[in-house]
Amino acid sequence: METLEKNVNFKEKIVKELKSITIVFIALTVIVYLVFYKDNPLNIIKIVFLYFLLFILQGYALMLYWHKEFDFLERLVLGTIAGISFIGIIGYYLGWMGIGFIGQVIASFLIIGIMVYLIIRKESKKI
Amino acid sequence: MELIKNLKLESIFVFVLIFSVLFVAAGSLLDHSLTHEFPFAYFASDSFMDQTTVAHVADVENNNYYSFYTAYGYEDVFQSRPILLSQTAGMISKLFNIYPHDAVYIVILFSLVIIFLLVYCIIRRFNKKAAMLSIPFGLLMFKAPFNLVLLFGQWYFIMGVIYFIALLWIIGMDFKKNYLLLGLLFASSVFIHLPETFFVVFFAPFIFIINSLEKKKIDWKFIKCLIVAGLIGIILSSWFLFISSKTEIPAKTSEFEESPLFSFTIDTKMSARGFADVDLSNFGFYIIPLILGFILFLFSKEALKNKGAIIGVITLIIGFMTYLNFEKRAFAHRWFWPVYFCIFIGITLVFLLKMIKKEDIKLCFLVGVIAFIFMMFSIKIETNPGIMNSYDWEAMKWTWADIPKEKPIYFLYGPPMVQRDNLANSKHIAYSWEMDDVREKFSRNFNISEKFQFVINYNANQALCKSDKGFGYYNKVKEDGGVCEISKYPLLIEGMIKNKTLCEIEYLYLNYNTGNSQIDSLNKYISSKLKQNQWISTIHQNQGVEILKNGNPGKECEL
Repeated sequence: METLEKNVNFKEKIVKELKSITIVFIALTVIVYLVFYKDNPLNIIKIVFLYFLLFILQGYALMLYWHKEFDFLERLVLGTIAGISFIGIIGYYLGWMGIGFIGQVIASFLIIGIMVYLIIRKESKKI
Repeated sequence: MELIKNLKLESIFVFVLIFSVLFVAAGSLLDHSLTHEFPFAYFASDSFMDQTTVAHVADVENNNYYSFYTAYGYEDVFQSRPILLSQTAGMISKLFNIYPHDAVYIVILFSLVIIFLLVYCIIRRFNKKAAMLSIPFGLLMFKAPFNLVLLFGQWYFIMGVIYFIALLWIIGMDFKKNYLLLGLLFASSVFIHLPETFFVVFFAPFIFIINSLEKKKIDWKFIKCLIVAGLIGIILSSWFLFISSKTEIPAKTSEFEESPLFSFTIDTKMSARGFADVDLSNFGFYIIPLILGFILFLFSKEALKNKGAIIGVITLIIGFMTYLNFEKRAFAHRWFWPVYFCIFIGITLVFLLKMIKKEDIKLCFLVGVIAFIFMMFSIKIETNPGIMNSYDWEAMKWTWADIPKEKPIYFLYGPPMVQRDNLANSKHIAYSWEMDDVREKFSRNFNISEKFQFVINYNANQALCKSDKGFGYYNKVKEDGGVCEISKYPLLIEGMIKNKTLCEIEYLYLNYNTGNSQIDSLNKYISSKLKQNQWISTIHQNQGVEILKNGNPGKECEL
């Protein structure tokens, strides 16, 4: 029963954290716009969105494995670092295989998608 | 309920932190805009080197080889510079059609934010109140001379610091499969800035001892984790490590040949390298709470648990490893001293608040925010467009498509050649008028029909080249294991320096915006004299730049 609760908590945690991530995205966009107010707002949204998509979101997904060891902020920060590493290293090697940036991004999303699936499955198996 | 309140308070604090870092670091510097028509706020050759590398990576969508125009015209010289910055910025630039020069700044600014958040998280694990009171003082790093790390384009190092701090934090932590995360960070550290990997490995035993002392037993798990993580790191970065082992590593280690490591040199002056010296006196008034905090930390019962302060001590030692001849690799960490040491100011403030018995989280939040506001008003990096200007940028962009790729461009004296890596923005092999020759010619009445000495612009100091039979363009190079050490090979050197008369040059780039009327007049005079010959004409011109094409290079012309 306790494991079941933990698993439900894990899924609830993800849903709750995804809401928090949306807030972080909005807040970050506002902050960046406040600092760089002379820039076109659409440019700012584009830049923050891209950075979010490539590094923060991927990194957050990577860090889900350690969701008990680190709190949300720590996972977001370490995740961004891990996200930069992950996409950077995968991109480097795929570049050697002649795969362009779009392919590199798709590949890293696929790998992280599989990882997230495995993490969720692992949590489910505990029931 | 209290927890939720604290969390909300902390969220606001974190947003204030992000705003402050971006505002102080780049608000004014980039004129409150993230996108610019030309490389804005680029002050040093290193900045242009990174920017032009990113531009090349964005063009070819990989990090395999140097651009031919920074590798003596060769198209298959292995890229040996740190790749993580060019890979990420190149991706941002290409995928969303953002200029590479803006993409680089975006990655670096967010990297600075990450460093601040990382340090905040490390201190917060020990004491949230201390974290809130400490981190605002990290903004001192944007004050001169610390801010040279940003202004002089030490951007690989900035990204390296992320992994350096993250590794020092995680390395002693005990959590499930910690070696996976450590291995990934180790590999990234290799990919972005090797010296930081070295320092982490160098200080790992120090952290091991601290961990063992804290646990009061030998921490074998630590050793096991470090070995596995190291192996993962080596496997993930193996190809890049191989290239580095043939290029950058021997080049950098040879720097120590003249005065070996641990030779206890006392000269720590970096001014000879063009950097202002940084020492503890640069903290000014803040040195008092800093030293007080350091003393309080040393006498604290929980000192061994305070990872933030331990990292502070490690970086203090690294900063003084300049005396052991680690030179600029150790010196570079002094630029980040305000961020590393802010914990000590926080310790002092917590101590003072404890003395008046008012150290609750709300007050710490308030003091932290006020400190941020104070720092924002007291530290400012002025707006400065830097070396590039709209005329040169327009002219250089024009050359991309309108001058055949294989044709070199010769630059007479002008703003682009002040920081030579800027010339790679022309995306052509670029020769600039050698500064010694400029000085020598200006010291006397020289004739423009004389030979001028030009030197090639290049990035690939140590080139690992590829030929049909393996590595190396020349037999001699191949014998040496594929490393083309440029200084040893006359064939390459011959191509690096060219003594030419102006009549021999096919594409000549002249500036009329040098800021020196004497040089502007000389360039105008050269242009008018050259154009007296029918086969030499202007192919591109704007208010600051003129590009001449010689239809018959080498033919004797009147000057």
